[in-house]
Amino acid sequence: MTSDDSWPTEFNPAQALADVDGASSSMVESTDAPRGFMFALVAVIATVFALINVVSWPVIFGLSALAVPLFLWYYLVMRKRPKRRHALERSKAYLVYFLLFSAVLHLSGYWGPGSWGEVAAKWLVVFALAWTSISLARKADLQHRLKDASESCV
Amino acid sequence: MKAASSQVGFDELIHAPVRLRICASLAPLQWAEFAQLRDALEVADSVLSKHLKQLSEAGYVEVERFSKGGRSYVRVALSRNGRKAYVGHVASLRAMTDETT
Repeated sequence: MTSDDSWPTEFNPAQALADVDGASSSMVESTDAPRGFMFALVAVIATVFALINVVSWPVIFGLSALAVPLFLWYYLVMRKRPKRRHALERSKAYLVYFLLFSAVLHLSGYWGPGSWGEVAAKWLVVFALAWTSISLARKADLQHRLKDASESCV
Repeated sequence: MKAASSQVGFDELIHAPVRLRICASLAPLQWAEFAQLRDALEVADSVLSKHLKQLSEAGYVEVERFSKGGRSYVRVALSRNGRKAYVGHVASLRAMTDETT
């Protein structure tokens, strides 16, 4: 037996579980979209939704096209990462937060800004609510994947 | 080398710290490349190879070689039996901590 075949001190199941959580958590996080990508994507979405009905549609399409290099970046980053295992079913909390995100975008359509100051205010509100709901959805998804990893045999 | 226990529960093979961390790292994944796993665990190639061989011989991990762009890579995944054993082992660790509290 070599030293890495046995525990350095008396075996402690709580310590072993902490090791399991640490190893699984770091892998789960490494397979998730980079935080910078999510931030940039939410910023583009907030900008588009803040400017709808304020600027012309070609400008809106031009802004939406910013998502193309973003997804290219996402693809290039993710192809170098380990391949994530998909849980059999989505977390209910994830779905709730994702619905909240969709509701924020939908309801923002009822706010027609009358000035550039209002556009800025709308952008701030949409960005803050969208980022909060996306962050909560991401957190719920990570927790669900961790639970699935240590409890699901399929 | 102790043989893996046949019953679902505490598993002597997975019990070793590095092998437990290998299984814990692979559990949320479909697969990882050898280098990605090595970097995540911060162990030497030889240490990871040794433990993967033991897990592979027990049928707990599947090691596949493939080439991409003219370079060869090694891909590692937890097998169905390995996942079952790992989940059972984690459940037994939880039961132990529940008993002590």
